[in-house]
Amino acid sequence: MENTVFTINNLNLYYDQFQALYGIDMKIKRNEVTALIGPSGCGKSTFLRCLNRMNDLIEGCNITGEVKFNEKDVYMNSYDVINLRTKVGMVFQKPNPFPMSIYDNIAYGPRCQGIKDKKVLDDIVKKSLTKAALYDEVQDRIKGSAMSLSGGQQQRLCIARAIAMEPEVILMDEPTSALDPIATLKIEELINDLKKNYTIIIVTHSMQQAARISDKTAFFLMGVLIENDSTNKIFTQPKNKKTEDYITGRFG
Amino acid sequence: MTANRRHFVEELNNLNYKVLEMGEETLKSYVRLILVCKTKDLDLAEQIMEQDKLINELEVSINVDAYLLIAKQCPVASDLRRIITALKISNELERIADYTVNIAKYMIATKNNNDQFLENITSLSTIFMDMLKRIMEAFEKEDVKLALEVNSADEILDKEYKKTVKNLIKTAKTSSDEEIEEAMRVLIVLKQIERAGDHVTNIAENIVYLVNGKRVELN
Ligand SMILES: Nc1ncnc2c1ncn2[C@@H]1O[C@H](COP(=O)(O)OP(=O)(O)OP(=O)(O)O)[C@@H](O)[C@H]1O
Ligand SMILES: [Mg+2]
Repeated sequence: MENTVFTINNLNLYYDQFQALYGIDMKIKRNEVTALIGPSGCGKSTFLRCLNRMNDLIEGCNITGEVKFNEKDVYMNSYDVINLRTKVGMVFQKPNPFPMSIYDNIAYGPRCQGIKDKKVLDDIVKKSLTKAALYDEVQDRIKGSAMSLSGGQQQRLCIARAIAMEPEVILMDEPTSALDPIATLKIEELINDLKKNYTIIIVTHSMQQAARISDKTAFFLMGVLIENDSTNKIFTQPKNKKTEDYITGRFG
Repeated sequence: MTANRRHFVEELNNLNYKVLEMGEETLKSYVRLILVCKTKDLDLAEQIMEQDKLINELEVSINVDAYLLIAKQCPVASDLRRIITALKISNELERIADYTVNIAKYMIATKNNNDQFLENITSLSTIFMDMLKRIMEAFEKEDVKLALEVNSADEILDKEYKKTVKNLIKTAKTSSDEEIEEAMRVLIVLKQIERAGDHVTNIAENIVYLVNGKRVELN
């Protein structure tokens, strides 16, 4: 398999007249965790949504440039968007389980894909929950409502739900900002385990989280990608003064 | 918005200040050493040991401050380098000061007041003090150029030391066994100051790291 999952070339994004992203060039490598950081409103979520074409759902949103997923530009007319969103899953800031059982939450996607065999579904549910480090905690109430889980458990359920689709990439937009430190650590540990099999791109406002879990860190400012380098480099000797000022809290 | 960094910056400045203070105190140890040589007053040598306790306490205090800052502020980039540098330089200074203690102990134990010996200590210490003063200035001003200059001045100290060694060997050739043994001990003592110079090189490397974020191997 190619080592580069995403290649982004000169990506510009407009919400009507307002330009939210400016000429972004970026490569994202397979089985790495990339953290997107930057002050509120700099375009992190906007950029993340470009990667699985979630911005298509926003009226007035216009995009120029290329977003290549496994070498193919996802903005080509003929591109299969449903397949893209299967391969590039997403986890949001607020855990959003469906109001149904834990089991059904995870089986939902595979069922939509036409899988009906109960044994196969059982297997997918168990595997996904295990990979999301949730199985042990919920195995005896798997048919119980997902809404009764704690926030941290709900978020891991959402990760399990994404995993059930067998994605290559998981996008996460501030996945721990609503969680307490323990639940946060569990998700961070999980991310570390998951990168063996998946490529993860995560938006975070916590510098320490970016430092702890990511291999690469990309710093955005007012729609511009200022610096993108190894996390070790960014947090010890960033090249750009603006990056330094942001991560040390001099502004932002 | 520097307002949210005010306390942090204050604490970083305090840390820096302590390192500079430690530099001053270390310098004083060498001043005392020269005074011992000039006056042959061994009470002054005792004071060097006292002085060293103060220097050790300063090092501990810098360590504690640095660990707390790392634990509580999670510093990154130049902030992190600043704290690491303070830790490392204080460690070098502690070693530099230890050498004066070793020399003072020798002086007290042997009561060696041979003029040539005292003169050697004085001239090596004088060269070294100039290096120490300037390297701490380079640290204070974050002046890489000055740091590198001081580092090359280490050659002068090395030369002076080698010259002294040669002379010692020369005299030893015509000496009795006891005198040769004594000369060897003196050599070890003088070597302490030559070593102190190597620690100045380490400080210079740390200053480069602080300013440029680059690890260099001087020497
Ligand atoms: N649907 C939209 N319509 C119009 N403008 C939008 C829309 N979504 C985002 N924007 C604007 O685009 C810019 C980037 O927003 P985005 O949500 O990507 O920022 P962000 O970096 O994710 O911020 P935060 O850290 O607060 O989540 C902002 O100025 C925002 O107001
Ligand atoms: Mg956002």
